[in-house]
Amino acid sequence: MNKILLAEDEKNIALTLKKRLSRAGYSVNVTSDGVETLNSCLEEDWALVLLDLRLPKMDGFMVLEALEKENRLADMPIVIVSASSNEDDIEKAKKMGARDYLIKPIESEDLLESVEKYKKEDTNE
Amino acid sequence: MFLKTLKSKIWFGYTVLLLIIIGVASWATMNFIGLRSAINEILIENYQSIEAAEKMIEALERQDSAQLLLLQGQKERGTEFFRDNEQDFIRWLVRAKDNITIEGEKEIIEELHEKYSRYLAKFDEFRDLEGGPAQEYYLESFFPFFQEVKMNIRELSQLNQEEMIRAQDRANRSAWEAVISTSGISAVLVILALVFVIYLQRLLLKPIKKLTQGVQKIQGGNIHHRIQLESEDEVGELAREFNEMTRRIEKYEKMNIRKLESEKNKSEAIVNNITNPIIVTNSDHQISVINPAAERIFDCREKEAQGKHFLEVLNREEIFEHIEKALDEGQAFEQEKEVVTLNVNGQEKKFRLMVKPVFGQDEVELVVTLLDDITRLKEVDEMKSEFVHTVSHEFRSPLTSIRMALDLLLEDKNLDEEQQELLEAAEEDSQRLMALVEDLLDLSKLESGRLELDFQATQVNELIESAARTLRSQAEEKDIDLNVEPAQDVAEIWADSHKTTWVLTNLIGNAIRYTDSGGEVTVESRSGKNQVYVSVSDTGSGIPPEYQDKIFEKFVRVGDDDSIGSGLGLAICKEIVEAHNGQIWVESEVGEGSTFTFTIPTLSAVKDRKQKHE
Repeated sequence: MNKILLAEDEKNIALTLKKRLSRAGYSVNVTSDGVETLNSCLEEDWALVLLDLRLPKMDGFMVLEALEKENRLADMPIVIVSASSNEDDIEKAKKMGARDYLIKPIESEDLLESVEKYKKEDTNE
Repeated sequence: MFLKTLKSKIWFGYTVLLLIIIGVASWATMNFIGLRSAINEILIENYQSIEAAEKMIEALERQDSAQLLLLQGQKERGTEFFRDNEQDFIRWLVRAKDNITIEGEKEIIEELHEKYSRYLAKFDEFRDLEGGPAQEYYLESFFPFFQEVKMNIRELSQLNQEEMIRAQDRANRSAWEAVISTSGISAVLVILALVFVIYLQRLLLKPIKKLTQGVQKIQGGNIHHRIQLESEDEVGELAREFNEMTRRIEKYEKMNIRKLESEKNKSEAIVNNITNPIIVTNSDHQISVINPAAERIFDCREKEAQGKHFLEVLNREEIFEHIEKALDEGQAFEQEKEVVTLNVNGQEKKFRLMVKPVFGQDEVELVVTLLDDITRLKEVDEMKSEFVHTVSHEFRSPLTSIRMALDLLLEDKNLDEEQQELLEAAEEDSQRLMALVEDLLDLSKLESGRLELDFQATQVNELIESAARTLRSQAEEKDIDLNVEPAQDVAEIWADSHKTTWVLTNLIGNAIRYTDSGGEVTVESRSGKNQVYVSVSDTGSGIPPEYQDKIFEKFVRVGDDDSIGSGLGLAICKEIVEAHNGQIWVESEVGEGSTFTFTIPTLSAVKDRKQKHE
């Protein structure tokens, strides 16, 4: 499976990241706020979710928490992509179940490496 | 009293005593004279009379012998003999007459004279007789008469002798009386003299005693006391002068007190107007001064707080421990990074604590505690940090899309030369921006002390190796000799290896960047007393002296604008090194090259310091 959800409210970042991932062969959907992101996670099945911490309506942590409550995290790998290099944030995200934490600005290879590593392997391909 | 001066008093005393002595001496002399006259009487007068009497008897007896001659028929010889002795007798009689001193003596002598005259007359009669009738005459009339005269003379003699004895008695008595009277008078006068001397002593000493007492009173502290002495003598004058001196001292003291008071008021005014809280404590940690600023902060009154123990009024242990240290060790303390947080009227304010001991003769007498209100400063600091943090944060988002976009575009194989060039330029600069943002963030964290250093015991030579390794290829590319010359047996340092390596990388990188092809970059380490020295030298263009201090400041880059780098590298190095309690500096000569050196404390030095503080 190569369906990736990108939760990013800044349109330029969303655009460039989507392009990057598309070129690498992934199919990318973009949500621009926390609520939309959560709904999308609950309704659909994604190989990986790239989650920004700073989202309107509901921030990344809250989304993570909600998904954790729904026990969706085992089934849906989440990688944080954030501008914050704050160690507390990193720790918190990891504790809450994020598989990885990428700090913006991100290099193409780092992004692709992480996606490759943590995406869900779909046996039904 | 008519005795004005001490001199006259003393002279008066002397005169009195002199008079007494003269008196006694006079009395004694008088007695001596009396005695003398008594002796005179005895010796001269009476003795002379007695002598005269004896001589008269002699003469008379010779005359009697002369008569015997006549009786034997030697008329001429006898008569001559008789007449010679008659002369003698008369001579002595005259002497006796001259010496009439006793009562009754005159009558005896007159009687004697008369009798002698008749004796002489009888001789005349006798002379004319001869033979038997002469003898008869002699025996019956002459000789008894002769004996009568003799008796008279004897009477005279006896009278004088008796008188002499009487005189002797009188002399004895006189002498005895003299002894008694002189002793008596002497005794009386001695007592008088004693009494007088005592009186004189008092007369002299009373004013002196009064003076001494007065002086003692003043000495004891009562500077207002004046010595009351009315006497006009030298002691009185001294007392007056002393009073004058005391008056002057009093005036001087008053003046001094006024001066001190005015100084005290001045200091008080200054202290009271200082906006920083000031607390002064004494050697027993009791509060001596709390200025109004401190009163406000700690919510107390100076008047109530004075004399009480520090902790009683201000229960701040963290301040007190520095006060204790200042008193015990004479150590001043000034907070650098930490602050004391105090709640003032519900507001939290931050203060920088400064504690200074004040020395008296040998030891600490007072401790002055001052709080510097840096709440505003801290707020500004916070705001700055927040700002930098936010800004760098905000930079990251757009940089993400810019870099990603450039990356994607550069993947295109069909770019023409121009497009390639432009995109590469953009990519390079976007990279620069990224580095700048990161450095800025790091620096801001370092400055606010938020970047935590991970201290460990490390070998500096390993770090040097590690940094050199990453830059070796870069050096080779530029054909620069990268020499690593670590000293042997360099002590272990207490450092954050990651950050220290960063410093090394930065310094070596700079060295390579600023050195031309064919040059040299040398990295050395060496042991110091409590720290390790690391230096990076290059043979580059060098740094002009006016820039040598500035380069450690932010955004300062030397050389042309071609050089890559944020201008923050050295500032960050400085922050990291100083966070280790080390120092960093540069030695450089234009055209020759530069040597950047920094120090890091050794593990043992840090341990020793920790022990000292505990």
